[in-house]
Amino acid sequence: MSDIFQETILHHYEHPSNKGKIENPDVKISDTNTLCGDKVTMYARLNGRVLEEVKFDGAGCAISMASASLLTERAKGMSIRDVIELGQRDVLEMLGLESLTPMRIKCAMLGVRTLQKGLIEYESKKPV
Amino acid sequence: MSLDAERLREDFPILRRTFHGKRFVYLDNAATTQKPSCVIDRLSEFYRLYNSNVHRGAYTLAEEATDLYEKSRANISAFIGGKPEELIFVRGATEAINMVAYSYALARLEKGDTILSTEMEHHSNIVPWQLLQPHGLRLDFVKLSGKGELSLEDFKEKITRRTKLVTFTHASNVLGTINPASEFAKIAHDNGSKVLVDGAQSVPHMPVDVRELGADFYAFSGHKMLGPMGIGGLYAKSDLLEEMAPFQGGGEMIKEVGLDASTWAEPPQKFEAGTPNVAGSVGLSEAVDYLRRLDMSRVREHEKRLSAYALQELESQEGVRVFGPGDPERRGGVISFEVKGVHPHDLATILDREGVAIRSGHHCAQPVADWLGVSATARASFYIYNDHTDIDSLISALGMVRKIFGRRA
Ligand SMILES: Cc1ncc(COP(=O)(O)O)c(C=O)c1O
Repeated sequence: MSDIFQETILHHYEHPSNKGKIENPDVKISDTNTLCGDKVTMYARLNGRVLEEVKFDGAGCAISMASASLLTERAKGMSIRDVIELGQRDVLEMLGLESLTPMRIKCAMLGVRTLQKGLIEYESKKPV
Repeated sequence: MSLDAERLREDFPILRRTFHGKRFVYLDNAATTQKPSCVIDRLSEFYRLYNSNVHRGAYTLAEEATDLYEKSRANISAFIGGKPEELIFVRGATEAINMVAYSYALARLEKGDTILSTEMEHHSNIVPWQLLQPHGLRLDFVKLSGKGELSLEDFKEKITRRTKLVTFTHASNVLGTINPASEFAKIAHDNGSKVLVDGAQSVPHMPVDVRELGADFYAFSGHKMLGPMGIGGLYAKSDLLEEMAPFQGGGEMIKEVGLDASTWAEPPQKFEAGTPNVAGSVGLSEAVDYLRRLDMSRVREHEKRLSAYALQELESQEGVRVFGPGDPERRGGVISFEVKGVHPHDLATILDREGVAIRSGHHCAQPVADWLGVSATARASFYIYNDHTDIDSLISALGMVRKIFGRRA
């Protein structure tokens, strides 16, 4: 059996959380996984240094879409710093997987890497 | 007599492997083919008994290696209807096309001249031409139409007085379409344009005669036709090879070297700077002998029959959409498809668990995916060692896909 396609992933692929756009977002950033052609756009609205609302849009494989969906749930209420510190282990944990092949890790990390890039850009633009 | 794929499988040690406890069903032959024992053994024999640099030493071993290298060239060139001196050894189709781009187009064409490619191409027949644009060469593309054929009307419209080179793939690595190469070549020649044909997906799968086709240049990869990786060929007509500038500079390709200037060796050496892939050439020559024994018309017939069966089986599956021409007469053994609601990568992962290796992605032909309106497709591609049972395995693995993504597919 294809254990990577377990319930959490299929559920989030078929019924994604927070899928859509945020009007006038503080962060809006798109990226693609050239290998698969996965595309995501991550949106965030901030309150100070805290992510108040997170959404995603895009199309791609079950792993990339489910992890983006899970990320929007997880990142809501987190600080910019904490989101930037999320790594592979956190993402695998969200997906409920022990490991993924190197090709599939890229799919899983697409959402979080994109959001992190957006937050870093946001920080660098903001006057201290 | 038709090919006995089950018997042929015995020649391919890798096909005895199992994956995830399942018989290995290899359906990614458009990417690369597996190697028969005779090719593997020939490579190792070369290194055990004949290894030496070529065109250099005066000792017996060096002469033997040179002889093997040149005999391989003659054998491989004859396989596609060329003369020995018309075949340049390269790494593969990509390098062959780049050689035409630099040594012919960039060196011989003038600013404002146009290269006419097509929307059906592999990236290797698009990007090398784009790299010439800053040098003033123009680039245009013949449109895809219908079920994935090149539009003849658009071709006739796009070809102009400034079109100096027409380049197109003989067979598509995504849609499976086999292009009417000689018809295209005739139109190009009537216009005074030279013709480059990308034969990466045709030489391995059907009888090819470069003269009959009317190709001025013909590119192919050894690894897609049972040969080793890192060896392939560029066929070019002798007068063009004379006219072309060297590709890379170095040893082997010179006649005399002074510190101010050098003169070039005669083709084909002129285009083979540095120590060549002698072992690769010997391995590819062995692969060519193997294919010749099978008979390329029988290879083509075998793949036609398999494609017809696969098309029929895939199309009868609910939620499956097959891309490309429907008529097996006009397509090769490459079938791209999608399963509704399942991303091709997820599909490939599930199939892998069933022992079935297919490709998913844009297959290095993003313009084709764009034309189809998809970001990726799943692709099954066949070769001599595949048979109906492999297609049955594919179909039954698709059942597993439906089971996992059942609520949607
Ligand atoms: C139609 C076509 N052209 C060119 C190539 C490039 O071949 P290689 O990577 O061996 O140079 C391929 C390989 O996928 C192909 O399918």
